Amino acid sequence: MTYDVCIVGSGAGAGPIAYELSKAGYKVLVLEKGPWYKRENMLKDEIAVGRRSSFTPRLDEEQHVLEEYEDGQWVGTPTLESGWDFWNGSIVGGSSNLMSGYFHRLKPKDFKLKSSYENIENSNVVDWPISYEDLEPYYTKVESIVGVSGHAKKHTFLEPRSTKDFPYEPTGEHVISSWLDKACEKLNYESIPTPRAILSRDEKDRKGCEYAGYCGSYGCASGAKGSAREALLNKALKTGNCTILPHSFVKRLHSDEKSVTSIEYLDKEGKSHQVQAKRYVLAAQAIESSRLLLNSKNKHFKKGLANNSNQVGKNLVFSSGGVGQGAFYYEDFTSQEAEALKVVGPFVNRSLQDWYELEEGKKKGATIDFLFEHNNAVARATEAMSSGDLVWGDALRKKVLYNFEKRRVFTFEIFCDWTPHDDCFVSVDEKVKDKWGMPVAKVRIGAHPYDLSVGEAIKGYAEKVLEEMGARDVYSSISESPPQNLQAGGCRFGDDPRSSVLDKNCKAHELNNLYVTDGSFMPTGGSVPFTWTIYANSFRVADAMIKDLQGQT
Amino acid sequence: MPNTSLTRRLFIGGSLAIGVGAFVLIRKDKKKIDVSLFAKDTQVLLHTAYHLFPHSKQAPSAKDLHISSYLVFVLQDERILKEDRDYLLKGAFWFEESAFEMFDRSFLQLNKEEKEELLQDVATYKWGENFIYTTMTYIFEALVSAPVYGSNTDEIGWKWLSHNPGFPQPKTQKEISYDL
Repeated sequence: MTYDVCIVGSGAGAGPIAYELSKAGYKVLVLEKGPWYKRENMLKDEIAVGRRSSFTPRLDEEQHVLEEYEDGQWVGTPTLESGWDFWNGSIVGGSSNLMSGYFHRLKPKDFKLKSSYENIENSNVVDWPISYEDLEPYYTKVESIVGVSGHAKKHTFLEPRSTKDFPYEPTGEHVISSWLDKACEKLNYESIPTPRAILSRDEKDRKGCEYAGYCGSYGCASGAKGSAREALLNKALKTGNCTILPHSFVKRLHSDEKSVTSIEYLDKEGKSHQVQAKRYVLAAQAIESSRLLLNSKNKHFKKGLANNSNQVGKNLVFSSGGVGQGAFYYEDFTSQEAEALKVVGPFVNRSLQDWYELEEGKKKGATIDFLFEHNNAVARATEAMSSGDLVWGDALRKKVLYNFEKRRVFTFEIFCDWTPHDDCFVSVDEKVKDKWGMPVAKVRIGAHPYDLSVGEAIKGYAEKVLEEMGARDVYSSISESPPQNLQAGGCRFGDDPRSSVLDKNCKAHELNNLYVTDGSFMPTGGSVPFTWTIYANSFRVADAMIKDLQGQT
Repeated sequence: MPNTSLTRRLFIGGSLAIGVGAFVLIRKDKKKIDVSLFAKDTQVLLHTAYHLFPHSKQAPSAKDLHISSYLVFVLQDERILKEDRDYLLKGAFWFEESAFEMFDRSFLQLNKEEKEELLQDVATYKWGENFIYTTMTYIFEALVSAPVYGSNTDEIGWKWLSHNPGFPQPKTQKEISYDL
């Protein structure tokens, strides 16, 4: 059988394509490398989720090679050796199953970074080939179809909206949110409600949030979290036009000089299959999509598919920034306040974007999101061993109990732009292979010093908020290590085939039936997590693809 | 989110360092060191855990947590790389060697004070620090994991820490498994 569309991957970049195309009557096949967990598998099992690789491949079967700058040269280390697991969410629905769902839109200027701000030396910053106005209707579409809850409070950097407010009211908030608001008022900061991809009320096939207290890194047992699986793929399946095959590893794409001709994948038993489709979509997350193209060399594309301009894998971006924290000691509060502080479940839902621009028209800034320390108990207990000398017996027990009994830790995350540059890219390592014998992705993860300076300039503001709220032991750190769950770029879109892989509709310049719809298309990532933008863009591309298919038929 | 899994590079690095030392020790005095029993390594590991998290009136001990069941589960848990599971037992093996080196007896035959002296000593070496850290990490897993994993019986760990484990909880050990 020839499908209309074959999608590699099943996360945020894949879901909207599967949803829209199958609804429009097209036959869609989704190939997912990992297993297909259902809602009933999404348990609060810290051993399976927090301590074992249950959502990601085993490193002895599939790994990366990460290149870091050490002693004046770039040194590649396989992650099996380093223990730095660079996977996230290799399951049906992808890492959207495991996100916290902090949903921020990009701002209009994020689409034209190059022309809006100062030049950054040794960078590859470019303007996007589309504008905020092009994407706005799709951000709005995500709000209703995926489900985004929140309140569009007016603030300096609120992006233009075509609707007045979110279709879902905010999720339940913890008492600490009001403390944070008061602190910000005193400091003259604009605290804003954080939009969340979490349903605050029941929908047809999904329940509203049950406030189990474990959101980020865990799957959702109520269906409230707007994962691609819950919000889109389950609905696509109901059309009868969508087929999802888990445990299906795509080894390579075959092509002639103009078109992809088939996809070769291996099933759970390692048996090889070929699939033909009218359109092929890569949505395996930025690093893996680039890797697949680079591993799909043939006589027409000797450097990898769609890579005749040497752009595949280049300009990989992550989210730059850092984290910080402070501790609220119960003894510093009234017993009533302390009891309120201990409540687990409701969300903090607060962000700051006062410094989204550090200097108007010159320097970009960041978004700060606030949250409680994750409730994972092994991690919290282990902290007792990370401070000071290694102790055991009663001394250790006291330290563990102290962490649980005396205080609650409150944290913040700073999201800055990751400046694209020549030392952050994906290639493949011909010497290190996965269990199927394919070269693994080699990722050079150099950070641009400019980004570190932005994080450093921002962190003090967040620390002040915590101090004003009454937290102690406040500190933060800005890191040049990339977070593997916030990756984009590698196949950026643009009007010039010499400096981009995809056209403005995310179709490969060099192949007439290949699209890439995960975060790979993004030339820059904005100072926010990417998921909402990936969803929105994928809905936009779905519209373009339908027109493309209609033109053909 | 910080990576809370084992820091393989450190553990392997430490392990290799002591591995060379252990080899020399075995060659010097083969008779004194009983290195053949797999079960003995497990016993050493288990008794190390008992010493690290001993009996207390205020809190559950490793024994109360049924750490023996949990360690059996860990040593058979294929979601942990075999290499990591093997290193846990190798750590116990090297620990036992150190007991012979220091006291000329098995760790299992040492009294409480001697065990403490040995632990204090090996903790000054990178491999020893990593072995203790790793064993403690598994004790913490036993302390707060879902009772379905064989420890934390009657939720004593959760009760001690007033920990809210969230819901729903697993009813079997393999409801989330990458080969599902």
